Amino acid sequence: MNDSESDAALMLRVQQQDTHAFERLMQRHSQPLHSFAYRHCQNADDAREIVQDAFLRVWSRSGTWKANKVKFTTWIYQITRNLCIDRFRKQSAQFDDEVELESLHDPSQEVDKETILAVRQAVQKLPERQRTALILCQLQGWSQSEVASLLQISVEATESLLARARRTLRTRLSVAETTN
Amino acid sequence: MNIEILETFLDRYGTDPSHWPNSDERDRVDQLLAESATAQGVLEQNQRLHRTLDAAMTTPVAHGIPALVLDAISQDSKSWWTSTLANWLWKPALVALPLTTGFLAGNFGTDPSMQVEDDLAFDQFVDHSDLVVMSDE
Repeated sequence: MNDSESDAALMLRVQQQDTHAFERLMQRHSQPLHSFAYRHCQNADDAREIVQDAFLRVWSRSGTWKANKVKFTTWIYQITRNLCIDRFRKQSAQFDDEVELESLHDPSQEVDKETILAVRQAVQKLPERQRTALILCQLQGWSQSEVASLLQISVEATESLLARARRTLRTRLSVAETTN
Repeated sequence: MNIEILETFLDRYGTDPSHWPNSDERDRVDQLLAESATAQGVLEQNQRLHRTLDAAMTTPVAHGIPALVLDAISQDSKSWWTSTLANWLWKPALVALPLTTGFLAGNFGTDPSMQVEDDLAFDQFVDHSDLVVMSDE
């Protein structure tokens, strides 16, 4: 098995209905995609369903993907982002599950539960494009040009989105700190 | 450069200097950070905020998604065959059903008592042609 096979090469095989190639693509991308969906909608069950739906769409629409037009990563994140937006419209997603918060809270970390909740609520309240840009650039290590390509805007516009997101977060979290 | 411009720079490019673009603006930021304790304090404050963000936005591990998707594809494939059969075979079959029924009924379904045997038919045939000739006379 060749692990260095590119996404594009695997996708060409997926277009021939090769399930092994598809499985490898999923193994490569399911965790970061799940992280993105989870950070976007802040619900583990929703994130899981969204990622499954995204991969099913990749499978059923693999014929529409063109290697010379869009990177596979950009394409699948666009699909996932759209599913997150749809889910958010249907049910106003909120991170209010105490059990989930417990399972994520690591006592060895310097951040307490109240801070985690405040940060998550602050991120959730950001406008969708600012949230997407922040999650991908700040938390998932994407470059600004990659995010620009995903959001189909210029790099300057992406920088502006990021600046507004970080400024808003700083303001909201400093307010939360003083309130606590 | 003042602190306000530094904050805008940090908001745009983050607090990790390895992600800052090489530009005149960056040179001025580097210079300000080297000279001003207040600027260093702003950078540290923002770095703390970003560390808090990283820590608060950790995500659970997603187990088993590929297996679930492959299973769904396999189920979908089975239902595709079922629907294909329903669409492409059952409809013509329904059309052919009356024809087939007629054919079978015609060949094998006739009551034997209703059949007329050739010999019997000839036995019962009465030739009246001689009477016709006689009447002409």
